[in-house]
Amino acid sequence: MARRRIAEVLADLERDGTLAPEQRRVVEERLEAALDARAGASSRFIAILMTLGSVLVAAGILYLLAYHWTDLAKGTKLAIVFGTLAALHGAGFALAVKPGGRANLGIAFTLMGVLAFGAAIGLVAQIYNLHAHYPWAVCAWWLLSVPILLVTRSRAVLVTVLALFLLWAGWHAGVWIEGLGSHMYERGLLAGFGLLAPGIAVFLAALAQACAGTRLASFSGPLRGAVRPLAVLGPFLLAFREPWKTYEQHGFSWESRTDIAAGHFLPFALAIVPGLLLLGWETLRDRSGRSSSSDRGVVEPWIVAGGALFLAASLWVEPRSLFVGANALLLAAGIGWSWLGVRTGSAATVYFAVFVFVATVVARYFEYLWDKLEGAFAFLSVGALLVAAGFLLDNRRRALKARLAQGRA
Amino acid sequence: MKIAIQYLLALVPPFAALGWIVAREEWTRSHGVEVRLEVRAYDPMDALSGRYMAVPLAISRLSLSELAPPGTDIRNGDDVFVALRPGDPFWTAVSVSKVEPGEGVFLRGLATWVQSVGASTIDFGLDRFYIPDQGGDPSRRDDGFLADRRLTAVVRVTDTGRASIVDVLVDGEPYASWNAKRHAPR
Repeated sequence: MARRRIAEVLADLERDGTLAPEQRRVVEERLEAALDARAGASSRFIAILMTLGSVLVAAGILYLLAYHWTDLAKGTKLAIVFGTLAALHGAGFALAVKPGGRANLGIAFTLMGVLAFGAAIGLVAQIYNLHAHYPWAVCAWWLLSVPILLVTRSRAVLVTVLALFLLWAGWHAGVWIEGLGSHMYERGLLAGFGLLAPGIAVFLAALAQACAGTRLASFSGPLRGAVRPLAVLGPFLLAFREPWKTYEQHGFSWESRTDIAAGHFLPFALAIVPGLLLLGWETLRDRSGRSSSSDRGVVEPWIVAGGALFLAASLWVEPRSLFVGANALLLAAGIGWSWLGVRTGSAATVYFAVFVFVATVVARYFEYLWDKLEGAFAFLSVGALLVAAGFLLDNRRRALKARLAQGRA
Repeated sequence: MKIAIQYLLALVPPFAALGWIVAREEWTRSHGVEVRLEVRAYDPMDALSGRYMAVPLAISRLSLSELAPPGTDIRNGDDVFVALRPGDPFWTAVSVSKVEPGEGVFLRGLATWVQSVGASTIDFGLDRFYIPDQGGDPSRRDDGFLADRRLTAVVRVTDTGRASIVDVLVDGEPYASWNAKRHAPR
């Protein structure tokens, strides 16, 4: 209705000579684009709302079944499990594809089906009293959901599968590291997760690059979104000096730690090697011009890979100075992403770089000053520091934002 | 390829995986040898999902130095095979090896905590028995301390060492009837 009214007003303005015909045409085109963008935003909001709703419905179904579960016969339980899964995916297909017409609702049902698959695994395990040392159930959950992800090409399903993958990777690595022995248990966990995170970051970055320019191009964004947080998580975990102090005090020998250290590198190797291979392949395609990708962002993934390998080498060769290298990487990441954000006009990149820098400084502040100050003084000084830092950073953020806006204009 | 066929093919892996688990467990329960194993509760555990009773088996903690052949190098994460001997009231472990025994009843497990001296821990995947939300835990008294009851895990074992826990006996009585009596009006 508003569009019709606007069209009438524009026609009046052209009739009485206020607007030239060419001007009227340009105004109509710009209004059309602006209104469509708003409609696009509405559509995204609806999709998010439906995604949240589907998660709640899946949880509700599970709760309802669980309440009466013990009274049901085994055959009935299995029929409910399989039937619910089939019904959810069937509804998703019918709504999104055939007959279709309700794409968002269809994806919501498919997402419910993906979530319900995890519940199905749990319920079958409950029926047969199954238990495993490693979290193979979570592995099956994300892995066997990949085909439906590829068919639907849904970002909501991708984010879910990605979250499950990260959950499984961390859990599985944790159980593996626990089983390696007690000598460097805490350091082992730090080492294992500190390397695993950037290793996975490299793999996801390579995957994002491989998806760009293909039918799965919509996956690149969410995959890339996970890369930077994982890339900095590793050095952040390894930037603390305290866990490695024992090596400064007592030294270390290759013979006593080789057996344990090698096992801690395995999760990292399993994550980074496929990532490096895929990244290498994508780089070769990119340089040969055979890649159809319009986004040629292989540089950043290689930098992340370099950082990850540097951490691994530091841990292997000289763990006593590992924290130095990790801190250097964090500061370099903050500076590098700030520069990249300004250069590409990406405010999100600049904000993330500022966050990394602040988190590193605050962590070091707590680490080195905590036992040198009385607790009260520590709180006061840290609080004052944060307020001052916030004031300075906000000023800096405004200046950068103004520069970015200027650059775009 | 038509989108409908793509959808169907995409749903094959999850349904096939669930179906395979169900078929495998049903086959184990119908064809496996019934073995009765002592439950020795030694560590309180919290339920993570659903409510279950921890039924750590006595044979989950074995002295490898006594049961493994000399020279056997078993490490954390190794698959091991525990040969069983029939007994009354419980079957007992007679040997542990990294090679599948050629005959007899044996359980396949994962060495999770290997110690050169003392008991090592082997995970057979049989340490949970799911109970109703309001069901009683026969391994514990009402005050939360360990109860003095004889708990027996009834397990079906295939000829490949795979096992499925089918019931827990509380002083010789199936759990369901023990639990029903516990809640019966007096």
